[in-house]
Amino acid sequence: MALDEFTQMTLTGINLGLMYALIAIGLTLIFGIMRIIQYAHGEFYMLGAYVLYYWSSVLKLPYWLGILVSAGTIFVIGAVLQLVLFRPLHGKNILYSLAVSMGLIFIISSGGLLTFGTVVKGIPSVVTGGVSVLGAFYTYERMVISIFSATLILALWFFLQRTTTGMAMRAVSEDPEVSSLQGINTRRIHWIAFGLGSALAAVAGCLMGTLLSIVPTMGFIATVKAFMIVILGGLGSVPGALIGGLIIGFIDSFVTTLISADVAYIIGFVTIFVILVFKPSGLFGQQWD
Amino acid sequence: MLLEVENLRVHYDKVEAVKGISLSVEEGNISTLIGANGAGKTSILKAISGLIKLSAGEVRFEGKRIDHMAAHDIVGMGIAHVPEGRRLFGLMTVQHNLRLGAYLQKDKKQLEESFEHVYRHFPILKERENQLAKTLSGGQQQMVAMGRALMARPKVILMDEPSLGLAPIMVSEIAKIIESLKQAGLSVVLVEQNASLALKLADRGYVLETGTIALEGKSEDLIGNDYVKQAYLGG
Repeated sequence: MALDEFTQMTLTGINLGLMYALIAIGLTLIFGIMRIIQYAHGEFYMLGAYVLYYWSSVLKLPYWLGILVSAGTIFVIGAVLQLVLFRPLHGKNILYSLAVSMGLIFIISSGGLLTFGTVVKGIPSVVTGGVSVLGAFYTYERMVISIFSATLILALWFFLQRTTTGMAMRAVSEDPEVSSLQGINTRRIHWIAFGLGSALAAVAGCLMGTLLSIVPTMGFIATVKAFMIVILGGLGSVPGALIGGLIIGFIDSFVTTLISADVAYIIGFVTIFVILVFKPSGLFGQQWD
Repeated sequence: MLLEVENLRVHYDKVEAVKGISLSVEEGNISTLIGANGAGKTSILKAISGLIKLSAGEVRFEGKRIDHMAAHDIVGMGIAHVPEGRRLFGLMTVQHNLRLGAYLQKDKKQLEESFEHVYRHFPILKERENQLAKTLSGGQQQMVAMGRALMARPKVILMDEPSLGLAPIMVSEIAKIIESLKQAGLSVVLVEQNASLALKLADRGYVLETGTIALEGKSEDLIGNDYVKQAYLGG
């Protein structure tokens, strides 16, 4: 393997990994705080990408503002869905939320096919040019997207560690009953977490849509990958989702380049299974009852 | 009267855990509920702090009805609850546990004062403030649980089995702290299996048996009572 090839695959791995991490962090927040299975998480990733597509490609409005608009729109949709659909399921067996979110997958993706059409679309990038890194060509677009994803993850980390709402979210994920004894309105935390988690997926959709292309059916595979990553990193763990995202990103980048995308899937799952054999609760997992 | 409970009933499905009890807590007093496991002590505390629904009865705090209020609103009225088994946020630091105790406090200066106040009571927690709560010893964890309740600046603290699972030296330490809370003007409702400790600390005692109050009165009278002596104080 030549050095330039290796560098290229590493840069792609980081790129993909950070975006996977964004989706997975969103999912792990939702699971950790509400203990529900949100299988339609990838649909928000898809919808987020389409919001940006219509905003910047069709309406020709500013790209970066479009990411904010996309995140905001999906935040609201997620929060409303939580209030209307998932709140009544709270405290029930997770099979209920699994069934409801499975239904959502088909409603949203079929609705997407009807509304957005089946033609693959692209979001034009706003950053052009590139630079040679150790013989590999690194576009400024990918660089900006990596930096943007990493900054967003850091900002989220700061939010969870330092702000009262962030602390309340961590508290509710550990012990909802005792959280309410501190004055935390757990219902409020639930819709905030659902909105925020969905918005993170939307941002990832925007970035991925810019790098690659978008179709209304792209959500499902994102969900599967996000669940792989969350299980790998440990349910409910934000650092776990980051590390897990990077691991799957690297596997995808290296194996897809060197062998093929199908083999990358197989190796991705096998890696997870191997890790789960040795660490059943994932890399950073706590014991969930 | 600061806190009054009247004809409180609590059901778990069809089983009645609390069968119409009444009690009252005066300002600056320690009241204790003693009794065996399953007598309904914890259910009474949970009903007061809003964690479980009442099936009948009333809870009044400073004259206002608080039953039917949500737990997160009740703490804002001035009732803090230290749950059984401490129930700290184990993956969070001591400081963040305490900060969450003052979740409803928006004023920065008051928040700082609350921290100072708690660290004065529990100097060891200041040293451990950046440690994860789950890494502390049982006694220190109980201090965090009490400190977290104090952060809410309550008028009354409900304490569920604070001595449970602690070494004897820690138990007397906790007892001293409860006394100092009373001296500072706080009211305490203390649930304890350690009846002799509880009655020594309390002004008023209630003996619970299978969801009803079997006996109540001034603590010193209960300590002298033959039945209490035989059933709860080990002869």
